Amino acid sequence: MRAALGVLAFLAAFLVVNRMVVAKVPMPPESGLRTKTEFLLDHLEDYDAIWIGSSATLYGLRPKVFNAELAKLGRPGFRIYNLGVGGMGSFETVAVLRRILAAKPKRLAWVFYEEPAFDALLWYPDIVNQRYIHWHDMRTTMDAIDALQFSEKPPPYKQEQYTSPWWAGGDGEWRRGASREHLELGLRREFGVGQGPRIFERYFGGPDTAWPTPEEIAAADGWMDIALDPAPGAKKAHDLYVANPKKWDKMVAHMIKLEPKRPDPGKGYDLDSLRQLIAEIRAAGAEPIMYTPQRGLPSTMMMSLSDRGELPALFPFHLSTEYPELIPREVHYDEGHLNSEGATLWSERFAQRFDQHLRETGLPARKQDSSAVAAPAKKD
Amino acid sequence: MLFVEFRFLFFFAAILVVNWSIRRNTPRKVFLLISSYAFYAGWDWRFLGLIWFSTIVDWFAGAGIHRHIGNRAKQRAWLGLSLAGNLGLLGTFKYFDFFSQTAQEFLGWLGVGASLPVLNLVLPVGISFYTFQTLSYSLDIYFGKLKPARNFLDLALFVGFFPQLVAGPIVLAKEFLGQLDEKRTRSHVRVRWALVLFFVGFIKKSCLSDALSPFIESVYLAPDAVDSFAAWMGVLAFSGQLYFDFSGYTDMAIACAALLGYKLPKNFDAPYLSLSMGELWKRWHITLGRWFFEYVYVPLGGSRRGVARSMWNLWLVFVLSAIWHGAGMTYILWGVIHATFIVLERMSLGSWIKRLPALGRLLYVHFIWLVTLTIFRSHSIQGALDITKSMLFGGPAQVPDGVTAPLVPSWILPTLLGAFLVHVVWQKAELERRWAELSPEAFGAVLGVAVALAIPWISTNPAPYIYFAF
Repeated sequence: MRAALGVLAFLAAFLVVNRMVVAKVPMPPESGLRTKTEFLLDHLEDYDAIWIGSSATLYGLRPKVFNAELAKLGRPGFRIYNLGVGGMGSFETVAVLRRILAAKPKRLAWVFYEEPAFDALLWYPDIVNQRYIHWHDMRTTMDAIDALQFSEKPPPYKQEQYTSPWWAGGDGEWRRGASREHLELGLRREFGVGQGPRIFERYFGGPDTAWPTPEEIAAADGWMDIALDPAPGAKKAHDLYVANPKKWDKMVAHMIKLEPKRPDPGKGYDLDSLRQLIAEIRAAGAEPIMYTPQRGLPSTMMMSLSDRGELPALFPFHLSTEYPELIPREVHYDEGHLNSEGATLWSERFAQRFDQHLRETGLPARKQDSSAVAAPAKKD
Repeated sequence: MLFVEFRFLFFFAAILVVNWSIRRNTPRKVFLLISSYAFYAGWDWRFLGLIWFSTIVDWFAGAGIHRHIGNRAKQRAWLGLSLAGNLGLLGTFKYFDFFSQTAQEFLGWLGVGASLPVLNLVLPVGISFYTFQTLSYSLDIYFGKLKPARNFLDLALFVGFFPQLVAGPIVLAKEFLGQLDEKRTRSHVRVRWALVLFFVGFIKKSCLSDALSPFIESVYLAPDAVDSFAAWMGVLAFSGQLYFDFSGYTDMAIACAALLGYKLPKNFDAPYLSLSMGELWKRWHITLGRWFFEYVYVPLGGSRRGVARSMWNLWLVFVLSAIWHGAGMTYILWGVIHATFIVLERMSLGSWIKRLPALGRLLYVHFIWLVTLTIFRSHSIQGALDITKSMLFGGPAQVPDGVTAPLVPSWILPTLLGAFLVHVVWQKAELERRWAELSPEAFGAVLGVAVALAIPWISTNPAPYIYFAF
């Protein structure tokens, strides 16, 4: 009896203290995830919209250009924030967005969401990195495990990691291995495993020097000029891009060739997660709009989803027929990103497309304009 | 499989349940032996053959020595078999390449071009530990301190018992075989004490040693780029890491064995509170020192053949124990310096040091320990010299091109100082005993808080135990 009481005392004390510790774990600073997210949380009521996505968004969309273009189109006072973060994958984006929506933003009317793919595979060989750990809250972990059923076979270096004498055999082998990875990360996140140094640095380690700084974020509402990225990989990718000009042309030709394809979303796409994402954004009082960046990829699944009415709206900037001006090599910094001139161009086109969308739907750009909404404009 | 891995916790929990549910002694020992081999096979099953070889050689050698009591020549022959078998294994896998390369360099220096063979063998985990352990069996029978094991199973379990198989403590046959004679009973297991010890060992390894590892590696990978502060912090961190890593493993090994009903010897006794180098070595890796004392120092004559011979024996034992740690000039140099200080302490230096206040003696010990640890940790003698130069005379004026100077994380110094203070209080106030003696409810609550506070400090970069490489 006393031993059982001892076990109970252990569990109770552990849970209480563990929850207190986990509440103090800061977001990871890598690639500006922390500073950019926390800046938005601190200035949530300054923005009518956000872009959320990967580095294509981070470097490619300039809020101030977008706002100015929208003002030129007769919609002044609109403010958008760029929540693009380098390397932000599908479920990490969902987790970050949930954090923003959980803060119950009143002014936020639009969530521009970059190409939701719901790819649940963890591509890095070493999964124990802070970015992965951070987004593995229990809910997102379960979503990711669920989404594994739609994943394609991982590359050999990952399949090797998933091999185990305990669950050998069958197509499910790598899925079980991948599920175990997610569970491990979920447990690390839930119990705050290894987060002590980060907590210490945050509270006792002096000023936060994570890049970009809050001042840099404020100056451009979250956009970063890729040419200023201090990561050595960014410069290297640029040099490779410049050294191999034909590679981009080949990518574009391949993209144009594949553009007409329309894969079946019923096979290989996590529709449940998409519908859930849309519902969550709407429940927070905002309207989702999906968009595809121009990075030499055909984004056929997004087009399929759009054709089937699964997306509330899609701004397909990858389409060579609709946005040929975003294709030339000169507006790109490397294979995956626009340079600052390209970013200006894309931001203007984005504002124009948004304005068109507003005219088509008759919706107001800002929530405070909703009382003065004019009758919906006629559709073409 | 490391003791700090989750899979080990599951593995050990399963072993505990099965072990205590087996009623008879022999099946229980068979189960423990199979489990031990499975544990070792987790690293590399191919090297199980070496353990079996060592066990079989000593089974026959022990029997042969015992059979020829009264005939020293034949006993010596059987002992020779044991020595050749075990030291041959160790020599082949651990030292062959080092001596071959050193001989080749020496011949080259003499102007004799020679190409000597290099085996490039992987060092089997734990080979330095289990060969010494097995040797203690035949040596004790030879010296008349032990009778042969009653059966092969007992000897195999003594050699292969998984808690101590890969990194000690180096158990002597005479202190373990007797424990196998009778069935262990649960009433003798000090569960709470063992849990505390396991937890403390876990903290030492996973929260401290592994956390310090990346910084230490960055310092010793760029010895010509570290400034004075980074050099001191690097060696201070390594001093902490070495202790946390090895004593942490030992704590967990002793705790695991205790939970299974077996007693393993103490391996550390707060060595960093020592007031002389001689004392430090009596409190650091106690079972290795004991082994060399019993099987090298005493047979060489110990202190029975005059002061000079005694000093030589002492010096030799310390140099040999340094070479036990690894095949490399850095280990030999480290051993020579330590051996020299220990010999000097037995002479005039010792009486001079005794006149110092306790703090001064503590500083003397740590100064020698830290400066010589740079040699122990460095990849080369030149690297050790670079870091020692930075420590004693300041760092390089300019960092070489293409080298990144290591940054000292802000938490390193507070963590090391905090750990040292906790260590002092832990020892002086006997907190381990006091904690284990709390009521079950209070014990559970304190353990719950401690585990919750420890988990955030588990390193995300788990590294193998340092002593696995020895």
